Amino acid sequence: MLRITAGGLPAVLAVLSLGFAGAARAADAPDVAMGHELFNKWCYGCHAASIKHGPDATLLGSVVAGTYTLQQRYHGSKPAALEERTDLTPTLIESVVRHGLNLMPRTRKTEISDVELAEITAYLTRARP
Amino acid sequence: MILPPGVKQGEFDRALSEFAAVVGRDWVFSSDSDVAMYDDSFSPFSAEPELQRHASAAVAPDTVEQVQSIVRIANRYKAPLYAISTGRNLGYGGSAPVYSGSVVVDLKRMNRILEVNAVEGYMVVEPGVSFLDLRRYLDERNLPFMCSTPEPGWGSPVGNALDHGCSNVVGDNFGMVNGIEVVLPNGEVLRTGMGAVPTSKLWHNYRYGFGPVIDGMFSQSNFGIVTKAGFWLIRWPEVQQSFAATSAKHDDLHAMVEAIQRMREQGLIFMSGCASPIRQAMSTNNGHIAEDIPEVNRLLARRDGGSPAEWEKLGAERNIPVSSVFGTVRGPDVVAKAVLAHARDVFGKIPGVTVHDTPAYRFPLNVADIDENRKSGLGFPQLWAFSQPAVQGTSFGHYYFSPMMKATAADVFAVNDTMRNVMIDAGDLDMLYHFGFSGGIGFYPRAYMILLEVLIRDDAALNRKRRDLFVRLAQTCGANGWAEYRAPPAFQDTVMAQYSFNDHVLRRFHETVKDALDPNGIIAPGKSGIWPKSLRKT
Repeated sequence: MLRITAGGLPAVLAVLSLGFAGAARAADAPDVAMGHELFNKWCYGCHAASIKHGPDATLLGSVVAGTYTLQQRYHGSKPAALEERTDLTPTLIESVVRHGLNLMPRTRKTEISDVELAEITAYLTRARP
Repeated sequence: MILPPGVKQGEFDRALSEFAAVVGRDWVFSSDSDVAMYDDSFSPFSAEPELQRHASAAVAPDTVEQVQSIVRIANRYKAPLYAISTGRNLGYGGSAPVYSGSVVVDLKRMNRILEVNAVEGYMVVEPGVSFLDLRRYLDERNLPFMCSTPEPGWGSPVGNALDHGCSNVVGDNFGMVNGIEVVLPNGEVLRTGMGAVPTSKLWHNYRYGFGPVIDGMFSQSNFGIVTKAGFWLIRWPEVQQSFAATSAKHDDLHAMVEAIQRMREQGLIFMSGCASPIRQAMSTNNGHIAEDIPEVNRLLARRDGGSPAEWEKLGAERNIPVSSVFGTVRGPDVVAKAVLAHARDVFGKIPGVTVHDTPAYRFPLNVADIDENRKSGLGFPQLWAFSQPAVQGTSFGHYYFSPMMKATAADVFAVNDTMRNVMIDAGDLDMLYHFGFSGGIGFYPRAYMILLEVLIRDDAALNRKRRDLFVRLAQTCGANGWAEYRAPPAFQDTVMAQYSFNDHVLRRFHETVKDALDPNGIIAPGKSGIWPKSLRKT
């Protein structure tokens, strides 16, 4: 369920605004490599495909929040790891980042600028072989 | 858009224009969608939107001078401000203000690591730096220091310390703060300790300076906006190793806690704590059910919480200790070995107690070899901690009830008994089973804390019931002398009310200071139950 905030229904945050962090990079051609780097910085901690754990680890010790939650939601009908998904859309990614979903908190523009968000989106929606 | 209380739309528009003139138009956020990003993602009112606290706008300065200008503008318009560091203090308010209508001063752009002095072992950082940023910085420069990260690592060393946050690396993170810079409510910049000596190079080496030590007045407070802080760092040791001592007997916990705390007092270990594993076997307070032993919940639901003999019998049947303590040592290999030998000697004198070593971690560590859930205790920030609420199926996060007690088994049992009976009185057996029993967590050297996780659900009635329970727990524990060390904004008035010696003279002192420093009451009204004169209830 998307969180409905004081601002109304989650908006499509497609407007790329110059002036924020990352604005020096071209807004009309998001840098996929930079998006990968930003994904690792901001998203990977909760959305890693798997984590290092000992052989006797409990459920808690063997999962990260984002991947576990998506696993529970899709039960294998879609990959639980975001980087393995091929059905993500810019609208969905931007909405979830800005408005949060499940345990995932809202992410402010001082943390991930619109330009950076477009780069993360470009990485997650890149063409796959 | 909501307005700061008492500020008219036209005035607020002018204030926003003035903010924009200081920081640039792109760093003032006033559209509904932008401001909504500052809502508390782990709000206890998540299922009751009408009760949530909202910002009126946000402004993101990049420099100390900009913070000064923002404070001066806010004074002119009497618009309340609420400063956040990284805004990731989830469970304690996140990026949302305590007082609805406040303008959030988002310090995330002030994210510079100003100095890491590898010889003298300190760093100076701005509030927007996260523990994850810090780890990256240290690794890129091969600087051999630990990050005193809490769980999770996207928090701010400055913000976490100011909120009295804790870590498994040093425990008391505010205790590592040495020298801070603050923008006062009148816009002046103050530096504490030796930082007040213009030519001093000792700002981050010697804490006290001359005269009253005031650093603490800017923690959990609303007397200014901290713009940088110095921290003493923990250098990588040769080795870090934990050990535990266990017993099948209930009464042994008294002698075991006394022994582990004696080692702490002597400076042999830097972290300690205690538990009753059989009592905790069914608890989900740490995220999962370890065992399936219905008898545990049956005993805990009784008024007396089960007799020592019953717990010992159950523990023996299930081969789970009744009493345990743990400690962690850090330092040269020879020292760690000597401390562990000493621990075996000390606990060996308590008949029936067994000492268990855990594997030693030798630095420098290869982070890829470390289990995710061990990283933060070794100084590597991560976000694994969120799997705790995730595996419990909540979509709205959690918050904690966290009373302080003596580092004795007697106090641990007494607080557990008190909390359990409050839950029984409230008829909340689900919460009682979730909690189970908690040992003492020794972030502070001579006190223990308990952390009761309250999950926030998509059920307004249940969340209300849990908030009421929180208040009853705070009041009952407070009446017995076990007040909380920290609380989410929704409960800060309740917690401050427990510090009531001499007709609440402590709170009245805070209010006197508040009124003197901040006559317009613009800095974080209500933070820690400190309200400016204009907003105090008579």
